[in-house]
Amino acid sequence: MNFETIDQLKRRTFLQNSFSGMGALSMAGLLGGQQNLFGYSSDVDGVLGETRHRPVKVKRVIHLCMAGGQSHLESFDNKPKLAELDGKPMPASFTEGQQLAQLQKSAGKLKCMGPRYAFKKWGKSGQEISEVFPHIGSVADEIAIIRSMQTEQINHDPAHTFMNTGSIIPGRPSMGAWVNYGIGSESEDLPGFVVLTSEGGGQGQPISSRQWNNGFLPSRHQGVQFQSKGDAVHYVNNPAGVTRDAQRGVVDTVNQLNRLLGERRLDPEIEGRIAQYEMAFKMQASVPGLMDVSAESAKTLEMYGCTPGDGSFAANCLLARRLAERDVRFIQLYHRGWDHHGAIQDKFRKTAEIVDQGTAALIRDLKERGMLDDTLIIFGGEFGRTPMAQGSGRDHHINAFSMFMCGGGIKGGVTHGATDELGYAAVEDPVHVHDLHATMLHLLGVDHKKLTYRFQGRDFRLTDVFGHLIKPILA
Amino acid sequence: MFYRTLYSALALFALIVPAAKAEEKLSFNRDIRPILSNKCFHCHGPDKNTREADIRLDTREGAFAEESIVPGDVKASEVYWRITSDDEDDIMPPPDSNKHLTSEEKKLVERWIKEGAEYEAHWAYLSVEPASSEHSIDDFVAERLAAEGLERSKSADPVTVLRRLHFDITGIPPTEEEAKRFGETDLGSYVDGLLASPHFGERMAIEWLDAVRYADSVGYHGDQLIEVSAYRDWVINAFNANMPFDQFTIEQIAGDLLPDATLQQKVASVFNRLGQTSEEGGIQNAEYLAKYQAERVRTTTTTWMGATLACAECHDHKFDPYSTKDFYQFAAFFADILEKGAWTGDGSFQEDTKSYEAQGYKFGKRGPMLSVPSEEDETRLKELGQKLAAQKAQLQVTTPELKAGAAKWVKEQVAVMAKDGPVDYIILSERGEKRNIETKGWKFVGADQGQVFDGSVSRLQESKGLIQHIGNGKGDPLEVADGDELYAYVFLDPKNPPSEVMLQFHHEKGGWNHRVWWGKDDIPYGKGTKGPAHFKAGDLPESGKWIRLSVSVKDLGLKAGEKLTQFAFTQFGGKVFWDQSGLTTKNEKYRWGGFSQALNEAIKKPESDRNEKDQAAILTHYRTIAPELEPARNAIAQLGGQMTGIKAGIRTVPATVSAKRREIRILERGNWMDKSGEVVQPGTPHFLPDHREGDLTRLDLAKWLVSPENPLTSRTFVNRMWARFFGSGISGAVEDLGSQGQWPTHPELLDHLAAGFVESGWDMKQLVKTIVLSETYQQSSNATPALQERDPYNRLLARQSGIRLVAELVRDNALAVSGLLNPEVGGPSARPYQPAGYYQHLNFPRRTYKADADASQYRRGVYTHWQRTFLHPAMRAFDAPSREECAVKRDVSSTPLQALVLLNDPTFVEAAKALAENESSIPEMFERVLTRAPDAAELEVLTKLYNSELARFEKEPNYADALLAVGMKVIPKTEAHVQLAARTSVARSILNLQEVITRY
Repeated sequence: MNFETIDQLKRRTFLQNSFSGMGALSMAGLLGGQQNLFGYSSDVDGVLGETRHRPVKVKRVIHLCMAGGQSHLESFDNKPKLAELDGKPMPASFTEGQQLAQLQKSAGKLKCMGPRYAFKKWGKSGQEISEVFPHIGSVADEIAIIRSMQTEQINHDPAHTFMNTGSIIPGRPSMGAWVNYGIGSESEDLPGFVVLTSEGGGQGQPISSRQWNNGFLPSRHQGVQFQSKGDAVHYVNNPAGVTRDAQRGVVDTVNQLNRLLGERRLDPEIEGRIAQYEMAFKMQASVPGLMDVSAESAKTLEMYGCTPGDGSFAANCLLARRLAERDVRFIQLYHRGWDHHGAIQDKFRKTAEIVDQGTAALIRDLKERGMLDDTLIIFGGEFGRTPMAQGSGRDHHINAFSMFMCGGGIKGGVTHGATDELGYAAVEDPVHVHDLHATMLHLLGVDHKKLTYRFQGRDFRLTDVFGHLIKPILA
Repeated sequence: MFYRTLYSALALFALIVPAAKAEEKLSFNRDIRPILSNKCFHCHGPDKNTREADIRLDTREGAFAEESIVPGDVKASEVYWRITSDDEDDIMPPPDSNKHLTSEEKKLVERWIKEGAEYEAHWAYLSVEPASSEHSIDDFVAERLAAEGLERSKSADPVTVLRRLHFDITGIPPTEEEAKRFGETDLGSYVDGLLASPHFGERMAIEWLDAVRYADSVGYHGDQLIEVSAYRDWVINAFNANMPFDQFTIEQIAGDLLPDATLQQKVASVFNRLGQTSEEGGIQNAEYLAKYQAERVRTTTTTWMGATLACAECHDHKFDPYSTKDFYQFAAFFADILEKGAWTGDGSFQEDTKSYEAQGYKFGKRGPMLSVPSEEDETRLKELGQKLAAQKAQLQVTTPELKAGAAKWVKEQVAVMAKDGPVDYIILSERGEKRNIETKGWKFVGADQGQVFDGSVSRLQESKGLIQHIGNGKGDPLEVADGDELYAYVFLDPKNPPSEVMLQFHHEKGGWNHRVWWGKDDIPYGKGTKGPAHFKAGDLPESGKWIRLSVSVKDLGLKAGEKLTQFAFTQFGGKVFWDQSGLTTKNEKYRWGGFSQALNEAIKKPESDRNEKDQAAILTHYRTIAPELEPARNAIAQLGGQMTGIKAGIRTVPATVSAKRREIRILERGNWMDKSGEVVQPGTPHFLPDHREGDLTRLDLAKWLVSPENPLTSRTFVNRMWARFFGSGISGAVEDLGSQGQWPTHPELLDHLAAGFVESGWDMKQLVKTIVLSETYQQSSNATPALQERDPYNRLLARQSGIRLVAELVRDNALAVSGLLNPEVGGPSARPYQPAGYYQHLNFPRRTYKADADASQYRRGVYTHWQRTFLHPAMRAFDAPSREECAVKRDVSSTPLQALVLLNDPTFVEAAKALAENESSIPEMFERVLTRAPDAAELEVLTKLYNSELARFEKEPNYADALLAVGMKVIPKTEAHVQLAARTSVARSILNLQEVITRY
């Protein structure tokens, strides 16, 4: 069902009457670089305008990315059989002919490693979560755990690229850019796609800004990374010796002169430029306002367990809530610390401690403020880890890993999918990265097959030619 | 809505192809192909695997088979019946495809069939029509305008034309003198002058570097640095030298394969090594080789052919006739390149590299490397080499005095030998390199700067606390014998003596536990232990004179025959000169100071028995110590040092080396693990003219690309150049001339230019000149409202387009008008100011960005260090691509982040300050930036800002100081400090203007 508005219909008719003989492509160009004619409205930023293909369940997405590849075996996927086989050879039937990462060298000598921690049943739902996540356990009834995730890329960089863009070829748009391209942002003075990062607890694998790139979509849809130290946004502070009033004076001068130019010259860019200077000036106040958490209550700070401004994951969770309140459409938090090739026993616990409380606090805080209903939270890494030991740790693994989703349109307290008895492969209701994307767009009211962009002669989608809804977890 | 704005016209894939007039016959390629391609080819096109009902509409044969289309007979044409059916089971495209034909499209198909259904092959695959001798650019454009009932705009005013030419040809705005000269010179000569400027190559390089994905880092994972700047300079120089485009192509793709390839041709071929590479742990060699090969196909076919052959990696192309085999055959051209997939210990080259090492290639982290000395370096090295040869010759001159000196020296040695008892075997004296220790990083001083024991230098070691230098033994380890002593000479500064000195010796097997010390027990090494690991020899020696510190090997716990490999000289605080150090020994092997065996034998013989060889051995050695030859020896050492210094500064590039061709298979669905596919030979796409396949090389590919029969290369390049001068290509999709691309607005013009380009000998400067001398180019870009409405994206060219400057030029412009620009051409990449902490997410290794603190700070944007994963934020804000992939079209956005850059980035604040310093009034500043005087209204607005800023700075002079301290340019404080600061605020406003960052 396409909720097309009357205005859009009129516009379409007008265009068809005016320019017969054009392919949809050429019409699309007319409408501002957008290939989707039917959703265009000049008043709304996104290409779909007011149009939604599905009922809108959530207004925004918060993606908590456990970068480095969080082990499912120490978090959400309890495998007693693996515990029994601890230290014993990995049955060859599981691994034959499979791609391994660093363990490739040890193929043939693979040993099982039992889960490092005990699992507990949490909440009314009795969801099984490892003991090192007591806070997430305390909100177990809010979340839908997916134990049957699968991806295609076994190394960090391409796996992140795949998780974000649905493709391994660099240069494709990230999901945050797709969402903003599709439905725009309602924020008046902040970008529609904001990225925050933190690290700690394990090897900090690099994260490329490619992960929040706009790819071939217009560059205004790219994610803007907010720094936890120095200026939150590059160049957001005035130069030395320039007060806010003085900056206002400069901006006013620029805009007045640009207006004078606009009187002499017909250039539609001039109007836009004036608007951008106004927004930049607003942003110079709104960004510091966003980052200044002094008005947060002691209770809130205690709930998150963070020292504001320390750049920690928990502090970023608090900022995520503040960004959500300010109508930022897509918020992405990376915690770089899950690449536990060694010493997983200690280091996983350490990393878990860093993210556990902040994650749960964010869920609870949003709920208390009535915002969880229109927010989608996605939690998980770019891949999982092997049931086989790699010394004292685990290697990268793509055949199975766990994530959870939470918020509007999502059933709480459910677990979806299952892996085999050793947690090697997803065997029941496998969920592919494309399915995650399709489901996310669905909750935003968008049919993943209908949000497309013409590039190099092809209509690209976030989900490429794949993607199924994860129906059982939808409320 | 944060980013709500009017879209930039330039960013668009926009295309207006106004409808065929009612009376005009439809054109298949213009009117029908886009519909079929977009709505039908997916299931009825080139990909046999997804073709439905065995019907294809992408070829004439297919379209007319099975009565799919019956010319002139709509009713008999199944296609028409299908697209107009209202039965859900019959209608095409099927409802579940999410595609449908509009009623207008259906009418067009109907009319085309009625008109006879004339089918045409895709325009871009047809031969390029010869250039017209009667028509010019202006004629082609005028013809189309006339058909549309439009006419060209009047010519832009001279200042606008001047600025347009400058931004488009050199990228640097005109100076006052140039503006004056422009008025006095005919246009053709003025343009020739711009084309002759070395800045032409820099301007042209910007888009080319996007296409060939040039960057200073490897991209994947840790995004480590890679030195490739010599390639960028090759590109700039090639444009400046007006290298014909065919040669430009051949040298980049296969310069290394040319007969007797020059160094520069090899540098050009580094094009093949510019793609992203990875050294992430755990990656698979074969997987990354597959990534690299696919990337090379994408880059090469997009850049030269405007083709999307990349789409055929996993399946036959859905819209163009490219097959999967075409893809892998194309990839096979590059399979000879010597490389690894995983640049880690796990990766492997396709063959042993020894033979390439033997050819002189050094192997670095990314395999074979090429040294690329600059011309200046080469000249200098030649010069120094000649001098060095002269000095060496000088050293070889044998004079009677030298012979006498040598004889005297031999006598002294014989006397020493005759003496009983131990001798001093020197392990360290002078600079170490003469003897047996490596002393890199040590500070040596002459008698003019301190104390010297022997020779001409000693080593100065000074600190407030613990300080130590370690010498690494060279050659055989030092063997000790019973009764030996180790010694070193020290001179303690009486004004600043240390509290302790220590000698430490590293046993070849047992480590460092052999120490002797004098003075207070402050040095932590060995502290708390007793015996040889911490042997106290006595109090601190007397200062102000040379003292011989010595210790028996017994006290150090060393036994006869044990060997030492390293020697450490440690002190705590103070200032100490260290000089000769060695072993006092009776060991016969060291008696001769480590002389060569030949020399030893020669000295031992009675004089009368010495033959010529003995004499030569003695003289050869004596030349190294003869006092009269010291100047020559010093000169040789100095020249050698200079040459080493120059060589160390010579840039390298990863070399393209042709090795054994890897086996290339068709990968089923692109899966690198699948080894079942057919093995393919290099080959060009099967359906394009002059198809070749077999035992071919990159050179064959390059020649095929630029053969006159190739319909794509000239069209692709000319179309892209056109886009640079008008804002969009003649075919709007510069990256795709294929079926899903765009029908050219002026097809005859595109062919006219493409054919003319080839006929001119691929003359790039001539192409630019032809374009900019056209009246079409020189028209005003100021549209009338009627024209704006009629043709919002200026596809008909009834005017010029206003084009926002590309990221590099936004920077260059500010630096140029403020007088800061460093106009140097070529050289290593530069690091402008960048926000602190921007690289915090890079790892392996972690790194901090250090902005250049010299003239490199002010280099042009084309030289900016290109970190693929974290491109400089100002570059990124103004839409420069990351260059992880080939990019032939930049977005042109308008965002608040751009405003923040221009307002607050120190580069632009500093430029404002320099502009204010250079120009003493508001009108002068304005005119320097915009090549025109401000009008009264503009001057009033700026003066108002000046006055309020002046008042503010007068009240708070600290603000003025702070503002004028931005950037590394130091402004001396004068009485006019506050006025200068107020002008700086005005200059900031000017540099932010739309008119400044737009080429109108």
